[in-house]
Amino acid sequence: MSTRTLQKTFCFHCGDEVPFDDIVWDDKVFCCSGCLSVHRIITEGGLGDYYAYSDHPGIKGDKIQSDFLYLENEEILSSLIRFREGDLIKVQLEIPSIHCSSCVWLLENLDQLNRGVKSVRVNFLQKNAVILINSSQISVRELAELLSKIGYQPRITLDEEDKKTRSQIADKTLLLRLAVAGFCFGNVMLFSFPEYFGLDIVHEGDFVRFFSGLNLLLCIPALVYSAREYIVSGWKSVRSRNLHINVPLAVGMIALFGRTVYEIVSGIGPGYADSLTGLIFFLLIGKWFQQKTYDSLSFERDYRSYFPLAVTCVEEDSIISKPLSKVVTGDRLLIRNGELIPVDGILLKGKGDIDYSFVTGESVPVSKSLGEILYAGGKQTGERIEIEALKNVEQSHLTRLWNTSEEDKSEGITYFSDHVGRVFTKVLLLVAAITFLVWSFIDLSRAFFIVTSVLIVACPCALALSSPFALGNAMRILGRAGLYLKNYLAVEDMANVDHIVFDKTGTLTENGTFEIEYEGDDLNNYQIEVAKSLVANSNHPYSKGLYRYWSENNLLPLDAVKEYPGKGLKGRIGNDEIRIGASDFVMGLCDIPGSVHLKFSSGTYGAFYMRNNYRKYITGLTNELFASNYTMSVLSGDNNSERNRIMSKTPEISQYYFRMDPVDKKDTIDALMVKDKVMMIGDGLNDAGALKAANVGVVLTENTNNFTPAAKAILVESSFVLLPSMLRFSKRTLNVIRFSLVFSLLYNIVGLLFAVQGLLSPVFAAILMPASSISVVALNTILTTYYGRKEGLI
Amino acid sequence: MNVIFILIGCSLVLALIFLGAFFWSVKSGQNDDLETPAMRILFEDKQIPKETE
Repeated sequence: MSTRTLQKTFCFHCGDEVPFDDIVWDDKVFCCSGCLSVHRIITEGGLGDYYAYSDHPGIKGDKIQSDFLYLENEEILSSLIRFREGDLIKVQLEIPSIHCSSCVWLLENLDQLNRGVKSVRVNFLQKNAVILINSSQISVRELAELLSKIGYQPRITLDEEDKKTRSQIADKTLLLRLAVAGFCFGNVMLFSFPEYFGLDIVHEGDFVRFFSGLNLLLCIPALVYSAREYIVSGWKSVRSRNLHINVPLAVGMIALFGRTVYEIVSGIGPGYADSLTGLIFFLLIGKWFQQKTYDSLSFERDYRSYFPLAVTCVEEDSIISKPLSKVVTGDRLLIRNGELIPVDGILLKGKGDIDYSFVTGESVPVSKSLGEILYAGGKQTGERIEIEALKNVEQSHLTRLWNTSEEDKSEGITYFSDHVGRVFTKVLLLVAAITFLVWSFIDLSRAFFIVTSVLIVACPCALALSSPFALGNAMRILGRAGLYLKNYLAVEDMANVDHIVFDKTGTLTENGTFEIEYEGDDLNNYQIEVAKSLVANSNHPYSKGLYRYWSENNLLPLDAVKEYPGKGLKGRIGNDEIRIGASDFVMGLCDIPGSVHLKFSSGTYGAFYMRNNYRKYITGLTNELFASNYTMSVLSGDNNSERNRIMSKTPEISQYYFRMDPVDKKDTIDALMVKDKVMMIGDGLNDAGALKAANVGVVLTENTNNFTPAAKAILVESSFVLLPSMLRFSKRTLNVIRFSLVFSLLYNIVGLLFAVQGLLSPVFAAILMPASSISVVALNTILTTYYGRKEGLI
Repeated sequence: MNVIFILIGCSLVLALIFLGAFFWSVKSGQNDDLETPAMRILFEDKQIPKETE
């Protein structure tokens, strides 16, 4: 056996390994003609600097380019246009493939490629671009096609547009509220310093009045503008009789403000302006910290994000573009190579090779012949086909599943801090009532005074801060390790999980790599080399799998190579013809799924049985989870012929469910959730219902740019092995919160001890409150970071 | 010592101006994208398109 000694070369454009360095242009090597053509468009447009800002910035050129005929449709167009004046049109496009500074540079210099483009502004984090064009020179459709041609295909959907802009507005208000609170807090501190250092009230009374007056003025915007949300939500929660942590916060703020006004106006003291503004400032910082979102990821996708906006319809020999929502039963739709089948339909023309990897996670295309039913969600690979719609979009097999599973399960869940907040509020109100009662016997004039002190000091500032900081920090740490959570509360959901359910295909197994078994005549080295050279010409997952299987062998030049999509490959060397592919293509027998047949016209014959490889670490991973007392199950769409194989790989998994269709998967999760807290890990659209139903749905994806079903979390494939550490970390984070609650309650109890006796002084409050806030914040951030490091997540 | 009243007034006004500037910067969208400008500044001058916003 000869070993391959060729030095590895990488595509100049996309950086992928080059299989044979046969595509050379201008002394540069490319992996495929797609990359070369993109490279030529870019360099010939005078934008060669694209390659200067980062190495191999390009996007692999063999991506399927879809048709943007629907962008001629006014209705769809108007949803993309942000502004129009005469011929000038400004559109905002989402471009998922933006990934480096070269991308930004190329897109912002798009005017070099087409003079109709007036300006481009890229937002890197949100992966979108605002583009101003002159529509007399370039239409929006042509723009989308130009972008696709250079590898930056825009993703156009209707449902997410307004959602994104709305979240931005919320961000802005929080930032402004924080700014005002910071401004007030800073200045109040400045004016309070003389007081702390013992300003002489007799000789310098003017100053005292001046400073306290200013403090009082500064409290007003802090309370009315910055703290507005707390007070409003506290009031709402009292009215709905659903006690919430915001109630004691709002009560504390109002008590602080009332006391401050009273003391300053009547001239008996400096009030608690510093405590009040400090409290608001710290609370808002906590809120800002927990509001980490992953701009470029979407956790809310429904089927509309996957499906094209419009489809090509054949009507009386003319071809028109029709918005997807208008498709009705009986329409004849044209599906090109690489396009999704948007509705369930019957194949009328052409040969279907449907890649259901979106749906099932299985990357090997399924062959369909005339008259067979194609379910929505598959992607046609190969020739163009025509189908007749059997249902409209909303009623198709998969879309119906999403429609029925829309209710959000998180509504009914009470989170830990809510629960503590409720108990705390009750206890606090009780203590305040008792204090008032007791003091009204001793000295009624002081009773009001002391009750306000109690409310002030018991204000659960530290309590309210601990979970945003711990969960917010945990979310960042998990994000850095490759698990992106929808929001900070998902950390808590994760910690509570006790049952983990895996999808099989694409989750436990690895896509694109196969365990290959060979049966047939022995192959000599030469024959393997011939076969390898033949499969190198195909992009079919099996071909790629075999190519990798023979990675040690050399390549030979073949003649008359031809690929028959969905069937196989044919090639010639000397007088020998070789065929590789499905059994009906090679041998004329009926198709045996999961097998690749090989035949030389000189006689040698054999068959390869391809089975998905389980991930190498899956045994270790499930053993580790089992050791941490998790129950595990597997949901699989396959029949149970896999049972023995899977059980030998993952002996600790207790339940296996086979032959599950998407609806069964969802129902199984619902049944398990009766007694367990379930985490569902899946990757395809057929898991979408189950992912949404589970307490925590985790989507496994190779690349975060890919479309993923709606779920609480997105996990990058390469980080799957870290799952046990992540789960442990989430539990530790919850413990950190519990610990800091005890810690902050200690502060409150100490303060209360002083307050109920009427001994709370403003200076004491001014020290105690920020001290408790800062120490709780520090404790939470430091401990979560420490645990993250310990679990190897940072 | 009465000059303190004026000085404090000045300092407060100054701080208010900064707060106002911050409000303006947020409202005009300068905080919307904190990543891309950092890349943009490293590009060659001649290529930078005119801003239109």
